[in-house]
Amino acid sequence: MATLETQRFTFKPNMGIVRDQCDGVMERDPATKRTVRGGLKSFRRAVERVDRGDAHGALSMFIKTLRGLGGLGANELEACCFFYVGFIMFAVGDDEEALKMLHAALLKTQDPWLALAAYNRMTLHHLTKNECPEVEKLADASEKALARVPESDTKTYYWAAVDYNRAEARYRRSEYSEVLSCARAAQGRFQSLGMEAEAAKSLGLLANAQLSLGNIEAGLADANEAIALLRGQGHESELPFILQGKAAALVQQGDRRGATECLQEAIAIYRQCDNITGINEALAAIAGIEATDDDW
Amino acid sequence: MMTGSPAGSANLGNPPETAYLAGAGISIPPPPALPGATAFIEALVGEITGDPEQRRAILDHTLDGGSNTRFRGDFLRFEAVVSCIKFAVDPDMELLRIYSGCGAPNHYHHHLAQQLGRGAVVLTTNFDNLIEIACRTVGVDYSLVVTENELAAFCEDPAQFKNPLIKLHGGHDLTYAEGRQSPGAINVRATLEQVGSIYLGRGANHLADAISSVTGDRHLVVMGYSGCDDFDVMPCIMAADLPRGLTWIDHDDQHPETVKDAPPDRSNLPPYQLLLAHRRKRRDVSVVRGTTSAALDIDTDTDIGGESFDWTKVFAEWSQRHLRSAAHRKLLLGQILSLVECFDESIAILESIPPSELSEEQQDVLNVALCSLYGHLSDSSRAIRSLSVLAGNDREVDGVSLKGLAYYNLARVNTNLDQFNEASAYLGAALKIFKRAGDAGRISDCLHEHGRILTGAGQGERAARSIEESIRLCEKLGDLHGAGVGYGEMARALAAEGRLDEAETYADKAINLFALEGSGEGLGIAHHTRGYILAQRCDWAGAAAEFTTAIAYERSAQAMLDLAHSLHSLGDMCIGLKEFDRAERSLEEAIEIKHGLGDKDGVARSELLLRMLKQLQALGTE
Repeated sequence: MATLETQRFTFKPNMGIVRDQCDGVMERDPATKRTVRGGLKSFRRAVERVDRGDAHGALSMFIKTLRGLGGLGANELEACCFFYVGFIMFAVGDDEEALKMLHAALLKTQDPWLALAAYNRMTLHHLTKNECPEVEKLADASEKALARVPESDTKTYYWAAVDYNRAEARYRRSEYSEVLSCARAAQGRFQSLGMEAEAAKSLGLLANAQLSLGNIEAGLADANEAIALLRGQGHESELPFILQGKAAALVQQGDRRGATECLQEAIAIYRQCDNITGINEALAAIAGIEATDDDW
Repeated sequence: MMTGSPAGSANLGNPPETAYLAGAGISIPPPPALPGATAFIEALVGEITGDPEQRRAILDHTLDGGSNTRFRGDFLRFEAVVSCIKFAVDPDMELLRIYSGCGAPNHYHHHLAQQLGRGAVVLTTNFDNLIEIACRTVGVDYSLVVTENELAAFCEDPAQFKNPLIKLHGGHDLTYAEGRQSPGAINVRATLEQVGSIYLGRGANHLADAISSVTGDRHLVVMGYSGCDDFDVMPCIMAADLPRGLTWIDHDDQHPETVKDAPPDRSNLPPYQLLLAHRRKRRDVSVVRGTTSAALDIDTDTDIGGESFDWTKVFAEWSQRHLRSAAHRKLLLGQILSLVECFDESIAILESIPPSELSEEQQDVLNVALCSLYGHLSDSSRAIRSLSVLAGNDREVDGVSLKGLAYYNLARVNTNLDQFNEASAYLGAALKIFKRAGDAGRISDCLHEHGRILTGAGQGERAARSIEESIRLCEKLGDLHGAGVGYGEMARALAAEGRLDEAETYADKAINLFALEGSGEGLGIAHHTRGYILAQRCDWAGAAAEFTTAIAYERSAQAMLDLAHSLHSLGDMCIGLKEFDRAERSLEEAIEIKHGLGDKDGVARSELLLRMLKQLQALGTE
């Protein structure tokens, strides 16, 4: 499944909001001022370490920052720290701790952009774990946050991501008819941003949903278009999911040879990235085509 | 205990009323000085590897080897090694020239030739032709009984064979008395496939009939024979009525004495087992322990001539022809290491062979071997990756489809991962391929794998039907391993249905077969199944003992996934037995292994049990 992830709209904290709040807090007394100023300094250093790829160093700086800030009211700064710690925890594979950190960030922040970025990362986690109801809840929350932000490309991107994630979650739950509108919306929004690869992936999801619903002709047309687009853009790694869906449709049409060729191409791509689960699924599908029902 | 009563030829009756069964031991004294099984395997291992670790891994598993005497079924059979040689490098079994190439009989062969001439019947398990040569030297006519047709004819009417010499395990480069030559391997039973067909065969067993026919009216004298071929000759002797009795000469260097009771250190050996079995029947069965020549009054001092034979020269020639390159030696070494269940090392060696250095046929052999071995890997990702490549190979090897074999093993790997949909798809395709090729052996493999999938999916009754069909096929084909797996699966399916008595019977049958095959991995699984059945009977102690045995076999076979399951089950039983420390050790090791294998669900199950144990321990402390 082509779960969505993009580098183009990587979240950066809005330091204007953070600084405004910190200024207010620092006015209270000199001791608080020293603490918050120190916190801001160490936060900046921590972010620099993130940018350098020093996750371990960044983590200890964020924790140091958080230790002094508790109860002072510099919530946005705390939220940013929790947000970054959450991302680092995901990166090191401690998903449980990562989710706790992102939840903590969401409790502290009033910044809808930070909330959207957190929801998006949490969605990715739940999709990977196949926890589809969680994805739907996060999509609802994201839509509420989106209502609070002004129009922009970033807003369109988050809308598209919400649409795509909903479509994928519904596809995973075999709710194919519920996939169609979301996938179409995602495709349109990604296209408007010039994100052709993401648009093609959305089209692929739409194609697979159509094929699963039995709309073979339309599904195959969409699948072929998505395949051509992704190939043209050099995104071969996104092809197997669509090829597997196409293969299933071709089997239904009695085109066993065509289906097998699709699956073989999928296997070849899976091999390049050593995706064993993918190889196994696609090869089992070929075996399924080769076997006949009356063997047992 | 022994009595002081001497034994001698006078006790053994006269030739027309006597039959001799001669084993490899009679050809060891010079001039032939032929090798026994262990000596042969040692020479072979010396030829194919210089690595001391690999040598030890193999030689420790020989019958006389060091470290595996605690368990049944751990030893490396001569038959299994010959099977590997035949499969990998020497399909015509020219190897047997080491035996058949010897032309210098000793006093034992001459003695047997003379006894034949005086009306005795001689049975032998040997591949050398030294008794025939001795007969021709002393001018005694003989009738060879080797092929199935000859065995059947002998059983029908023994009188039509003058001075019958029955070669129980077949022969090589035979010369009949009238001078007719029969080159090559004839009815050779020294391969594991033959062991299976003899042990499991339900059709006519001419071997048993011939032995029964001979012992029906003759006293049987056993010489130079260990009795360790527990698949054909020994069971026939055990089953024979022996109305005229039997004398077994258990050769050693002392003056011969008749043994009344089995010495404690030898009571498990075949002659003493026979002694105990027949004592109850009040038959005239005795064991004489001492030098064979003295026991049979054979004069070994007279010079009978004959140039001494150096089998190592013949072996070296054979080796030059069949193990001429490093690739050939690796091909055989990889196979033999798989026999002693060093699967990872075996795969590493086989994968290191450049295919270009093998003939096309041997490349196929290599791929077939790898196909089967990948199914044993604990690392399922590696297994899937490698098997998926082999699944693209459309070649057939001796009627076996590589693609079918790859699909079958992919099904096994997926069943192990509880991925029953994928397993079913692979199995369906494999079955179709094997059916088209008429490969009954592989069809039976598919059927019991199907049973395994159905058991895993909770469809016990359908599983039992599929497994039963597979067992029938395996028995018909003499497929030891397949039948063993089938019995084990049947035990599991029946136990899941609550039919514990029947399940236990099948588990015992599986244990017997895997012991015969020498499969530690199979024995581990079979003992685990038995433990599972006992656990269902709430016999925690019995179950724990079975799981402990399973663990020992699985550790030795490096079957890590099975080992982790057995450790978990042992932990479970030990909790029931309130042996908390032992339970903790078992569960912790199970978790460590499962972590290493990436078995997350398994880790979760074992951790849950461990948490429960800790709570119980805390309660106990309070």
